[in-house]
Amino acid sequence: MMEAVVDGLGMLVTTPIALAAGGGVAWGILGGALPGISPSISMALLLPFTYGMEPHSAIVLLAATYVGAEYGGSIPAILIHTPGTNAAAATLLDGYPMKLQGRGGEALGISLYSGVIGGFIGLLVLMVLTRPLADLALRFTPMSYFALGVLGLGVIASLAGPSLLKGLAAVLLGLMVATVGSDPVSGVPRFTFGQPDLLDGVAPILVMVGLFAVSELFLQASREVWNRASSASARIRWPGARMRRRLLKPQLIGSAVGTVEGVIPGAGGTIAAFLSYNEARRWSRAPEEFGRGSPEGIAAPETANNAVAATALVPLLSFGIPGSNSAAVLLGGFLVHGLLPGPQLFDENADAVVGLYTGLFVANLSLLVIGGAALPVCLWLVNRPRPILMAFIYALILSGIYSINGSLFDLGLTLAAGMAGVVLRVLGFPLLPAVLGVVLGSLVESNYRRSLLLSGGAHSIFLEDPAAVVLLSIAALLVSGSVIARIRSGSKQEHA
Amino acid sequence: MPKDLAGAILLLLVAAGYYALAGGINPSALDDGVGAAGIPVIYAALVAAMGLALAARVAAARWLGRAAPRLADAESRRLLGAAVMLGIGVAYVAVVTFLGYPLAIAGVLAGAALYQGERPGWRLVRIALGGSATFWLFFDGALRLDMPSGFWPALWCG
Repeated sequence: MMEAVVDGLGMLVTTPIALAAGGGVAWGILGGALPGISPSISMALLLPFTYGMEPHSAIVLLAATYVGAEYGGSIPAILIHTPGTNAAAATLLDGYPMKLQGRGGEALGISLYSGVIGGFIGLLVLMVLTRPLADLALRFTPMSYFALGVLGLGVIASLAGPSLLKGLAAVLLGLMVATVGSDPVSGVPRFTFGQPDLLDGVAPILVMVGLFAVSELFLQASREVWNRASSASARIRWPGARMRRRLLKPQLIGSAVGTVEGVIPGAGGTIAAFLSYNEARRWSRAPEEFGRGSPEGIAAPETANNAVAATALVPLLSFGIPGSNSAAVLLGGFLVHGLLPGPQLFDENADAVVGLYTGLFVANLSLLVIGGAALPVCLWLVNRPRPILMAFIYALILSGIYSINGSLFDLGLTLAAGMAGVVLRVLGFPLLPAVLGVVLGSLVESNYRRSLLLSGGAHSIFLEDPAAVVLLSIAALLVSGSVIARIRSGSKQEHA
Repeated sequence: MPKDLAGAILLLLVAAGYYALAGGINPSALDDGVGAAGIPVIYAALVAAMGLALAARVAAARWLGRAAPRLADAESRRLLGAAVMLGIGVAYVAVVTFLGYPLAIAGVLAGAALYQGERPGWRLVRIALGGSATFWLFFDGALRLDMPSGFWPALWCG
């Protein structure tokens, strides 16, 4: 690990990583502060602009955006009772009451301070866990890779929404999109309608921007306006020594919950934030203060969701499986630059991993400074008329997607993906499994067919590979466990 | 209509269309045992099965007298709103090569803001033109990207 630290310090002076980290944090805070613009949407908006960038800086820019957005979401939650991100809904429970008591600056300070602590702990976990898991994955055969793809899709389909059936259907829809283009074995065109633009398949970046950013923008068209923020509250108050001691326990709880939830694909920051809030209340000396302006009620969820911002990258870096929307967009960033996350990344592009660790370190550090400085800008942005704000975001998406390849065809595909995302959302289908289907479809199909080529068409080859057997068994156990749990709970969630 | 029923119809339609297209994939001398159409046919069958399962769930809910969530009027309005926003994007794609990026993006800014509730007037015109100039300077000027210039150069060059 010491070697990685030395390499990382070297990168700070030779590449513009520090600049990318600061820029990403600033963009993330602004995006997170806008209600409806989640961390993944902030990242997706930025994705087209990373094309022309040096790969390390581009990856750091996206990862730092994730870090900044997790804090940014707490700003409107505390000041205007509207969470900027889903995870910040837990921060609102005590943040807004504190603001009503005239302690808005203190609440923002606790949120920022706890977020930075959570970010550093998450980064440490990421650095310790990723390499051993990647080494394990290096021994994988095509059969194990197929099984790993099935496991990733199965876990996320069962965790990423209230309905298992719809989650699995969303995975399949994504897998269908992944079959567009040349067949991986024979090279025969499939579903291309004679369009040369489709021979290389549908680029995941277009699907991601369409499903996450465009669909959200389209749905914002009929949402209610949010409250206005007072510029009088635009000052952060850092917690004193006594308060810092009080926050230690909820921060430890938040870090532990954030670590576990981040490493599990599909769980994510929102679940981590609410779980840690509940645990912090359970272990607090003053549980009666929760919901009425308890500083601990801010510290626990903010530590947790910022820890998740780093630990959610563990399955992405070690296995190439993104466990959350934001990790999926970051995967898009890797793919844009010809980097494939997974065990090979550590051997073939180890500097990309070191660059990412260094970038995340600088991002968390710069969050302390930029978090305070960006507050007045966030308030200004939140107070802009919503129609103008949405129109500018739409224009930014249209321009950004065109700028990737100078292709109006790409723009059409992104808009189509956006409308498909709207229909899926309205009908209650989760989007993350669909995106993962698009991203992992090629891995699943090509390794399945390579395995069958090795065995002469015998499916028993999957049972002869120990890793494949273990991974497929875990997938079967998790999906069947999810089915049984849903049947036991009276299928209430299935109808949500 | 119950949401799950709409979802089931959607999945069955997608499965049928995809299966029909998979049937048109040409065989190749380089094909393996599965073939280029093999996996798509499996996906089509699985999506159809998911659609049927969703439909069965709606039928079971009705049979048991349970209320299934329905598509609310508000959600239909959201779909309509999304379709209008999509229309603005499609119109942009259709006209940008002819009108040029600055004018077309000004149209997007004005159209999207107007649809989302901004009042028509000089303020809207100023915002659309100012925003368009900013975008053009950023993409074409600062990032040196070749955004569509439309008929303007031909007009100036005769």
